[in-house]
Amino acid sequence: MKKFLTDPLTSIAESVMELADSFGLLAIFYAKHSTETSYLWQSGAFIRRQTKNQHEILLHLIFPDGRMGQAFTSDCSQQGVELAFHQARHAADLKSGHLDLIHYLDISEKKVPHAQISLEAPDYDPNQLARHIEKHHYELLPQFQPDLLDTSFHFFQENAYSLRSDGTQYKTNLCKASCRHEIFSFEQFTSFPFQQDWVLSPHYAFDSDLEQLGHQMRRWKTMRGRSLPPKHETFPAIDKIPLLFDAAIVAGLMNAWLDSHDHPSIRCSAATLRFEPGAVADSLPHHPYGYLLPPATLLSPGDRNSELLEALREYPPFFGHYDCQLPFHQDQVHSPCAIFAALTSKGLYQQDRLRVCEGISQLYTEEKTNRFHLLPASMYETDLDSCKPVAPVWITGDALPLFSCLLAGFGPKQTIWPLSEKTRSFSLPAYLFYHPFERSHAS
Amino acid sequence: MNYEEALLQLLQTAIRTKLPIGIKSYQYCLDEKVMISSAGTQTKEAFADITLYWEDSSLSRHRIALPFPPDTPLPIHVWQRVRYFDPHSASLDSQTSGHSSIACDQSILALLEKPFSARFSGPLKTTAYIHTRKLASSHGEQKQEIVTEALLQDTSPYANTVYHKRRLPNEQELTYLHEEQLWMRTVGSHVSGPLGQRQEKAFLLFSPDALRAILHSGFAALLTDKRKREHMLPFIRFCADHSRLSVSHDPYRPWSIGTRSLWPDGSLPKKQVLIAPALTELTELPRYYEAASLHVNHPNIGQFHQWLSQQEHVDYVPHVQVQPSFSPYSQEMGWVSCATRFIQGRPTVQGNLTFTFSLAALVASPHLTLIAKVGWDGYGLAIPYRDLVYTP
Repeated sequence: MKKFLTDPLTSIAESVMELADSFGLLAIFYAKHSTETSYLWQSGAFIRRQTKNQHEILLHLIFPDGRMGQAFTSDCSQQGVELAFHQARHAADLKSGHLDLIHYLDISEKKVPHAQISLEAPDYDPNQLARHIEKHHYELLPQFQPDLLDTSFHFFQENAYSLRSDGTQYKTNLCKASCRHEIFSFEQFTSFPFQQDWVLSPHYAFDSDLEQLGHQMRRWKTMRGRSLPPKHETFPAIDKIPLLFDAAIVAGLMNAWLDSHDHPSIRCSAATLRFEPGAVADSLPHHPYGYLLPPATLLSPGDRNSELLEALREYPPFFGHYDCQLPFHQDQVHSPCAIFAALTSKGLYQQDRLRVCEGISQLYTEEKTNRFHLLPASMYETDLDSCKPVAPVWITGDALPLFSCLLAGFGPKQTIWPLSEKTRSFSLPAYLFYHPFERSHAS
Repeated sequence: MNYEEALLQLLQTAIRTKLPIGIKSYQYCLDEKVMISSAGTQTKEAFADITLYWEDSSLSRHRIALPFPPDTPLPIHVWQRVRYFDPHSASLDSQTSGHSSIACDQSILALLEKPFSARFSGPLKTTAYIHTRKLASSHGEQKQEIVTEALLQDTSPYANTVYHKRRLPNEQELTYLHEEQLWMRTVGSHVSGPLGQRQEKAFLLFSPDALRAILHSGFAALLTDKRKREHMLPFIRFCADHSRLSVSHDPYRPWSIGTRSLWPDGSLPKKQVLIAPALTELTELPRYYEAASLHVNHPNIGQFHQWLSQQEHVDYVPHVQVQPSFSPYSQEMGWVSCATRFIQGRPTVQGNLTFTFSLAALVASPHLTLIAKVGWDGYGLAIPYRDLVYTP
């Protein structure tokens, strides 16, 4: 299965290199093939299984005068790739940013000790994994009746192959899996999704993660009766109010931050963000420019790695794990009251109550303005003695200064995948203290 | 070799392959989409949905992007492992499809024959699509559908001029769109935050797309799931008693984006009335239902400019975000990233907007008016803010 796509492509890639030589150009050939197998169960009945196969080729041509051309195609035939080659040649212009990026990737790759380059993931049988999910679905079903339970399981296998004019070639293989349970509540007439994702490696903990997911769903069911319905108004002056966010919200906001524009305006950060793919996957990410991408610091107080940020946003997307370190972190403290006490004793918070936001009910980001609009699933007000539910309200803010506002973390670190996001995961403490007042201090 | 011939060759090789359990027959739906843009690009995307029927009476379903990599067989050894038994599967019948004359614009097909420079003119960015759907089985049944699509839009930031139908606009429509584009650009300012305070008698005007998003999440999507469908009956009866609005799922509306003549399984779409005065029965929507096929009707219908000029204050909603599903009776929040405020019929400011509504209050509003506008695919809906929720 792993060799299903890459073998016929190696000869096409070599022909692209020869063609580039004949024009006096440097070429980078990158091909990605992905297979997805999906399964669906609804209310105790198996509904369907389906496979999906997709492939794409990306070509980069570098001219001696510094011009660069780029072309995509899904036509993997010799003819199709040659057509893409000439499109890239004709579309070439002076994209200095892209050349800087290639230079950065080249330097980064040289820092990786060869012994650390592990490219092949073991083979996994999606049917075998699906049987665990099916069992989980049947176990959960009676616990949530009369609400409806839909469960889907997606297994992804991604093979990438690249060849560069300098002769360097890579074949990488990554397996990912995703389980999503959706509870449809007749009371609220809406669905509540719960999701667990994995990059498969010999160390992943499938059953214990599923157990954890079931625990999270049961907790939601217990809390549902206690939390208040959302109040349809916007939180006043959110840019000036400190909040305690849970990891799910911050992962969603970090995802929005990574996709946002105008990063050069970000000059300060209280937190440190590291690109750490090796923390969850055994292999290094295979960048679509034909390089392997080693771990590196993306953002730290006083510094930001613009080249890496650009590299991480290139299309087609590739998997990356991010680890967030906060200026202050207490992993033993994870109840809102204890967090309130810790924040007060450290002098990070002086008011008599703190708002706590948990889970995402709705999150939209405005592409043009980088503003986010968040409706948390639950909100609470905490002080030293109690944590009382309050009606969730809409929170609107600017996604760009996120890292200068995250000042403290509480509870053990966990791996969070933003909902419906298959290419990024984040390592975050259970709760994070967000304080927009401190932005100016951090800068 | 075209995509279909290449696909047939792959399937013929697969069916001849010796396997512990062989392939008895197959069926496929090949979707090709050609995009022609006024920016001078032309691209083609294609995929095939394949159903394999195995000798043990099981089946397996697969989607492949086309063209398939050269010298590569279909991975049938892998596919064999994901086959399953589906007692509800239906094979392709011999019904024929029709009505392409109301969804296939010959002038879009003719663009392929023209040189790039002669394809489009005018200041609006134009993108035309040709969708070809071919269904066939190893038993020899065949069906085909060709539909076209034209999308014209202003490329300037925050622009609202959009035309989206299955045919290119005629000259009269094009002249109007160019004038509207200039008029919409006279908007005074854009605020990065929410639009400010609104007047007491302000109206909200939903575009057809925004209205469909609300109708889809509030009730139509729930009619596709038999486990949820019965719960919509009280709302259907509420509408029959309290509203003059009718909503239908109509895949036969001339030149509408929701118009199709063939579902991917080979069955024919049909027109269904979902809500109407005196309609007290539930309608079952098919699995392939699309929100784009929803159409509304009401006795009060106004023309955009004429209606707008009579209003003091209107907030226009081109697109809206709502929860994926919600009760028609619950109070919901709609979020609009770029709404335009019209004061005395003139565009004055753009910004984001949130509003609270219940679908039941919306359909029962006595002041509801449907609005027709050149470029819209169907009617928009105008309603006073105060009618969006029940006020006891």
